[in-house]
Amino acid sequence: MRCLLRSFLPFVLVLAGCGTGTGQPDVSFPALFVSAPTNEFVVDDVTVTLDEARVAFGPAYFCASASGSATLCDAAVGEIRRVTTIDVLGEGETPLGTYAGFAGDVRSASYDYGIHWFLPEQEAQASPEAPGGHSARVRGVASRAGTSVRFEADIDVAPLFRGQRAVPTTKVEGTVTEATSRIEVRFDVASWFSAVDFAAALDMGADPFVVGPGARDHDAVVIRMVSTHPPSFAFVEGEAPAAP
Amino acid sequence: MRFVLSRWSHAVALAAALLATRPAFAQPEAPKAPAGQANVTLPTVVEHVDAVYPPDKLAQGIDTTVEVLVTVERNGTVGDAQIAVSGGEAFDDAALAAVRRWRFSPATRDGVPIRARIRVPFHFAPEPHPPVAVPPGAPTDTPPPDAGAAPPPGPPAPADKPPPADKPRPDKHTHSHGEQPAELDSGLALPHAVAEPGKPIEIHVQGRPNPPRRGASDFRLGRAVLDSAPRPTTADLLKSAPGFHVMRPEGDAVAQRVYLRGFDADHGQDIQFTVGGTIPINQPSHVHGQGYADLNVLIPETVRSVRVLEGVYDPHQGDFAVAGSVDFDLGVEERGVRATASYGSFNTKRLVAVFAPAGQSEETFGAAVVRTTDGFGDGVRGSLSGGFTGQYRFELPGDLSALVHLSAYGARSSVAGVLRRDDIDRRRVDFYDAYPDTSARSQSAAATRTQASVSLQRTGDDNSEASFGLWGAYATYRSRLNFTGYTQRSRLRPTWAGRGDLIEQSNDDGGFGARASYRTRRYEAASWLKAQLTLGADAEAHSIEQAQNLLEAPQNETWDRRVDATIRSLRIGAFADALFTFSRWARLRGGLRADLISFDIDDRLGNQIPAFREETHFVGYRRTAAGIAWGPRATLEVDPLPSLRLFAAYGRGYRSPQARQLEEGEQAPFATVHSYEAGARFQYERARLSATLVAYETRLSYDLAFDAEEGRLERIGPTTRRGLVAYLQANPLSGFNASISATFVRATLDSPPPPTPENPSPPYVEGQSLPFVPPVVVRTDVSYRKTFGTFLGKPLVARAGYGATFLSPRPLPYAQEARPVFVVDASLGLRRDFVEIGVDATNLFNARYADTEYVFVSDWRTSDIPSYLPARHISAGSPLTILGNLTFHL
Repeated sequence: MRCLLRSFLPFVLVLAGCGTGTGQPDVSFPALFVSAPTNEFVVDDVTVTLDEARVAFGPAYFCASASGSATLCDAAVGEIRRVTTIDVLGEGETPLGTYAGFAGDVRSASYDYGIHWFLPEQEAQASPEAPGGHSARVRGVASRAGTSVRFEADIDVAPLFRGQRAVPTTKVEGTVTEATSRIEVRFDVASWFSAVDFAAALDMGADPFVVGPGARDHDAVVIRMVSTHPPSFAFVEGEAPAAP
Repeated sequence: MRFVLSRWSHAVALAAALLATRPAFAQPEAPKAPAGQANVTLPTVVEHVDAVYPPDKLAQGIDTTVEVLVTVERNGTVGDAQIAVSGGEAFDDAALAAVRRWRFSPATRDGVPIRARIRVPFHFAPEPHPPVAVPPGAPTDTPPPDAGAAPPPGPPAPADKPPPADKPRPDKHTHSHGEQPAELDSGLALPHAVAEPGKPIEIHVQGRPNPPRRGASDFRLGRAVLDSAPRPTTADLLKSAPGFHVMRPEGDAVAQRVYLRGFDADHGQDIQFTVGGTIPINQPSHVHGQGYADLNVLIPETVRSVRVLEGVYDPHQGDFAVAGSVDFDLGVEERGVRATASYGSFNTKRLVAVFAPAGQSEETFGAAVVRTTDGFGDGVRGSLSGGFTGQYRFELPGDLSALVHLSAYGARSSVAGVLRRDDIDRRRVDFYDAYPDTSARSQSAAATRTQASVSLQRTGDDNSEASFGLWGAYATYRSRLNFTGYTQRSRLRPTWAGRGDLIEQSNDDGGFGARASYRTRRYEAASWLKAQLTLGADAEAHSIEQAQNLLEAPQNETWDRRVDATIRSLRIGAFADALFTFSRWARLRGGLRADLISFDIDDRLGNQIPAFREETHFVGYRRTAAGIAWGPRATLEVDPLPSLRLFAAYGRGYRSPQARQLEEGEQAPFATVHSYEAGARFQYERARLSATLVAYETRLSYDLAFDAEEGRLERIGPTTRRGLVAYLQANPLSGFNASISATFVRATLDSPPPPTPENPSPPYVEGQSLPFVPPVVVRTDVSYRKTFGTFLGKPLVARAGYGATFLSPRPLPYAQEARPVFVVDASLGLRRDFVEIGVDATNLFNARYADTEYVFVSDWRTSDIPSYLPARHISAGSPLTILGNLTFHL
């Protein structure tokens, strides 16, 4: 019997030790906003100088499917569960919190700009981090040929349906591995506000020129933030590259 | 005290020499009948119970003998016991009470168990008795010192010694088969078969025969093991079977969750459960899980033994026998009326009454139970349940033996649901509590089941056997469970979302069926080859109404409809099972089984029209499907040594599909399993120890796993399990029983479903360890029962026992791992005369463990920003629970 047990034991140990893992390992690393500061840009012949540009970003959810829509992506593969106010005029990187998730391919993302409509909330709400209760608050001066107007833009990007993100899906091409050290988020406020018809404002001489919910210029900015010029996401392995 | 002990401890019957007899293991050395019946072996005692010298007769110093005529059934139980020679009423009663609890290895003819009548003398002596004299040829083990029985003094009666004048003389006449029953070669000290006038030693079988072993993983659990630890429910009896683990994460009204040898059988999908070999408990296409089997319909006190066949090696095993099969044998050993009242932790109250009329078969009894509890935690685990079981075995003309069974059970319970691990770790909710959310606190379940059966058996004098059984069952189920909090969106009205994922499931199943089998006599093809064939068939039909909705608490308003279906199914199975005996040392059993299954599905929510599309048709999808599954099975037994038996077995089993997952005309894709095993059983009789070692592999064509979002099982692809099982059982002392088992398994997922647009990041990848399945399961049961003195003239019988379970860390999806589990249950009792007090403790060391762990996405609004990552969830296992018991044996 003792001999039997002696021969049995090694097999048991081998058997107990040869189990394989169960799917993707979990990972976490910092998320950063890394765009270069935007203080001034030109739209047609109008020069826009920004005095204030703050954007609320988050939370963001990342999916393995091509669509990050809530109806097609029940389970995320990664997420940034924080709302951060990004001062676009500031120098350097802005921490957005921690990306937590699993290793694997990421093909889409969905996210809010500080205004969310989580289940089971009855209506969309602005988070405390949203500047002035809006997704983005931008102030500045538009100038053309010695004429200038001040402008004030409060942009609200709200989810259309309960349980969805304000940006239901954005394409992402990336792979998260255990070597991934950070995720870099970039967006360009200048490209968003290039949709505003500053020339018309200058022609009308409105001062200040207000861009708010319901205005055509407001919707044009929202379309750029959501669809045509959404943020980009890059997963970086090892040491992050030096900022340009 | 010592004087008193010695007086009556030797005043009971015969145990000493009998206990030394060889138990049923190939029966190579069983006592032989004399010449003329060379192929007949006599019953031998496997378990005995001491008779108690009537305390009120001690003062009189009566020395007397009682002789009991005992019918030993083919399954080794005592079917009938009558006083042949009276020693006085009190002594007669004591002898009858004891012998009815004995267990025998049955008599055999040509190796086939037969019913036999034997005479068992009980000698009651007020003083210590001389040592037992053992006749030649009988086992010679020394009896335990505390054996309360002793044979009459003097040398054993020689084989040809005429019986005393007051005993019937053995009949020497030739019975109906021309064989001459002869007086048997045994002395008075041992039970000996006596051919009573007109009563040959071999008479017709009564009761269900004990089926032969089908491999090394064919385990039989008797009451000695089952009584070791508290068994609050019948499902808990299974914990003592190697590789089994049972838990109840969804409350008392939802079927237990079962793990066996690397299979997550969930609520029964991979294990065929039957009662008495006739009534199937698994419910096909149940909305809460395929093969749903709620064992609460059985009262644990009425389970006499459990046969657990791990693997698929027996052609009798049918649908759902994937990991194995379990058959509950119902019977009550102790005759009379027994009522037990229990009260304890969490305001738990339980009352059970068992009526087992004296003089009837152990299979004749009635039992009823009611139980209420507030449950642990903060008031969301209360439950109420009750049940009844009645059985009656009786004889019919034509040598037919009949058994009628009726059971009914109902329960309703609140359900605490699951908790996120991160919420527990951050103390947002206590481990044993439930979320304060309205939807979480609206979880409940209710279930009923009523079942009845009639079975008939007839055994011919040539060892052929015919049996037939009819059964019917009606089971209802309704649960409201919320696993995921607030993540769901209505599929019918997509703008309805976030109203709580309270999934309501209902399932009404009316089923009936029949089984029949015929076993031929044993043919002798050659001097070294004998053969026997069994042919059988069974059928069952079900009509199932099922629905699944989403409800908004607390008004339970329906805000989405997911399932509304009627399913009608018919399964017909047939098998041929052969036995080939190659001399005494090798046997080959096996045959072929085939099952046909047919479905008619009225899926009233099928072909759903998405909300954004124009209506083009009426919603609904009616379809039919049918299929056949084949299952060859074989077991080879070889006895290289009298104490060693080697096994090799192969079998193919199957599980019927969930009907609603079938398409029109689909040939019912059964999940098929290939089981292989090789093993050995070693029996060391001197210490009454048996050891079993098994290596096995099972390959399953597709497995199922729990999907929390839908609250049901979904396919996850083919799986493979390879493992080892070691099982040791010993009862070296009278009243002492110990068993330990260890199961090691490596269960892997071979080919999980690929990602889909709906599920782009499935939690399963190829080659990963199968989630939720513990790789190592260790179980030990120890019990000891002893009479240790008297109190006010009555003997005191004490019992103590425990059962301990260890589960190694269980793999979870997404590379996570559940914590190990170690739980000990213990039981103590003290009986004097008709009163017994006891205390049962489950989770004796108050270990804080998770009954089950899941990984999925949930949102319980415990953080400002929800997480959509799959997260670990647990349902808490019960903390220390103590129940005090008061039992009256009347």
